Amino acid sequence: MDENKKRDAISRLIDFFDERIGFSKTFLRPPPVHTLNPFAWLGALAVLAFFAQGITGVLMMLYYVPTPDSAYQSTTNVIQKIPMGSLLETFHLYMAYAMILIVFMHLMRNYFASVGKKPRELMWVVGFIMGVLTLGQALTGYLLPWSVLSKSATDVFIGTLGVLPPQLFLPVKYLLTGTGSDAQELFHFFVFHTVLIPFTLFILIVLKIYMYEIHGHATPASGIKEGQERAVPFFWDATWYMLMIGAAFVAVVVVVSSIFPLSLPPEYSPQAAAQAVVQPDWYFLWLYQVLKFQFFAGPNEPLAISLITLFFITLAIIPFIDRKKERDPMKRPWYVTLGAIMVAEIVVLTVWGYLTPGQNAPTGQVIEIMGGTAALVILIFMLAYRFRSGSKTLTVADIVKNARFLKVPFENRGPTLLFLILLGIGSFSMASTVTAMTVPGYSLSYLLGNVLMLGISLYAMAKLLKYLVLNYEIAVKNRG
Amino acid sequence: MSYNLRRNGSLVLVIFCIVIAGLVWTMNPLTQQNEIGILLGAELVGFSMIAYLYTRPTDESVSELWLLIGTLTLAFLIGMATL
Repeated sequence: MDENKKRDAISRLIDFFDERIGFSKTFLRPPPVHTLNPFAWLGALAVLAFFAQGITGVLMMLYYVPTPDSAYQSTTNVIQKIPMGSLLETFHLYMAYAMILIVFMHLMRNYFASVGKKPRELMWVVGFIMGVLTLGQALTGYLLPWSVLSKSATDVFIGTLGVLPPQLFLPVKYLLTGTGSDAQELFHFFVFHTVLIPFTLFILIVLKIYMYEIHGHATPASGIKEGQERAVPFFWDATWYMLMIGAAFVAVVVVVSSIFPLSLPPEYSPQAAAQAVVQPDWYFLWLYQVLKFQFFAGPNEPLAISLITLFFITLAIIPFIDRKKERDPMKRPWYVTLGAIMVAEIVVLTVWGYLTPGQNAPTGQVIEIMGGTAALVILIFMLAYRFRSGSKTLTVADIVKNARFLKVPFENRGPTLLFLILLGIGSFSMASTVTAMTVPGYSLSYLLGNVLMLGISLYAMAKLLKYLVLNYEIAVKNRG
Repeated sequence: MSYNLRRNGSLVLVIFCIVIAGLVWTMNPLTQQNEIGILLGAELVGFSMIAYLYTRPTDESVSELWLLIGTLTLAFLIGMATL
């Protein structure tokens, strides 16, 4: 009874402020039941990570000295001599990793659920800019311990920007490194990391929350189930939910930080840097691996930078390209498959970059790995869309039920063998075409011959695939 | 889950969190940072479980499996920190 009275008192207190401020009608308005799902709260978790980084960052700033002579020493000092310092440093690092991961998951979840469609296009663009700033925050923070790895990787990054036109490169370089001395570089990165980027991110968070309040939460892409449109009070239903996933998220990062404490690489010195194998942190490995492609080496490096920039710009404006109203992933096979290829390629490039530090990637290998990954994803999604058994989402049971399509190649050995031969010829022609286009010394007739061969093999493979699928469908119909 | 069970469950978890906080208070913040971190993680898991018990829209579907997983996680973390 007393407890109920207490709860009423809290409710009355909340009502008192609500009547005067109006938060329950604006930024704390009741969310619908379908939003009580961790994937709908990824943005909130990213904001939580941002504030956790802010708090731990400010604590670290009490001890950190941003000069080349003292940066490494002051970081080591925090780890070794300050109570809870090691946990603080490690938590800050792992929370940054978690933030990048959460932001990426948020981006991809919104891409697949196409929540950026009208009228939320600008929310997508602002969110994308925030994602890029998060990477910027990670990049600038990486240099601050002044270890041999962080300094060398940052120098490689700044060197890579040298392929930009001088009118663009010089101001960017000045912004990042000042006059170019180590002291200026470290101080500029420190200011970016602790003031400029966090401040911009904070403004964008406020802007995004404002837009979120205007447009509300997007409905699920595959439609709302019965009873899910019901709104629940922010106090305490949604609040408890938010506290639950927030506490679980921070718990994971704290525990991982305690089990795997940070150990700093050696301090930077030109001698140590000369012996170090330069490798960026894991979230930039995929970009770094692209720059290691042999056909992007030397004079073709600006092409790589241009393609990467084009990729980022395309992703930023995707709601303006994909303008159809349809949001259900099962009815958007092209965009969903493209998104899946993108995720798979980023994962593959990251692992590949991690396994081959400092080694260039030969053209043939690039085509095999990148092309093979894309082909595999296309095949999986083609089958997923084809054999979805009329249900809205593909389940494991659907895949098992339709696993009999695996028999198709064995029941049609001749066409399958022919398909494999054509696949070999096609791959060879593709590799030769790229080589002829990128390596000097090959004649135009060689290039055209390969393009022709590639076209013929692709056409024949498509015909064979159609024949095999038709055969399979006839067999299924006869059995049915 | 009835209101009483919810209240009793969270009471046990609150007591657990207070005991762990007391334990953390006695530890050396310089030499036992890893253990303290794991115990702070256990505190957060305990708090997350309390919040789970009070997540009202899913009143009728409070899963005993999730509570079991939470409890096992707590046991695992306490074990890791103290062994």
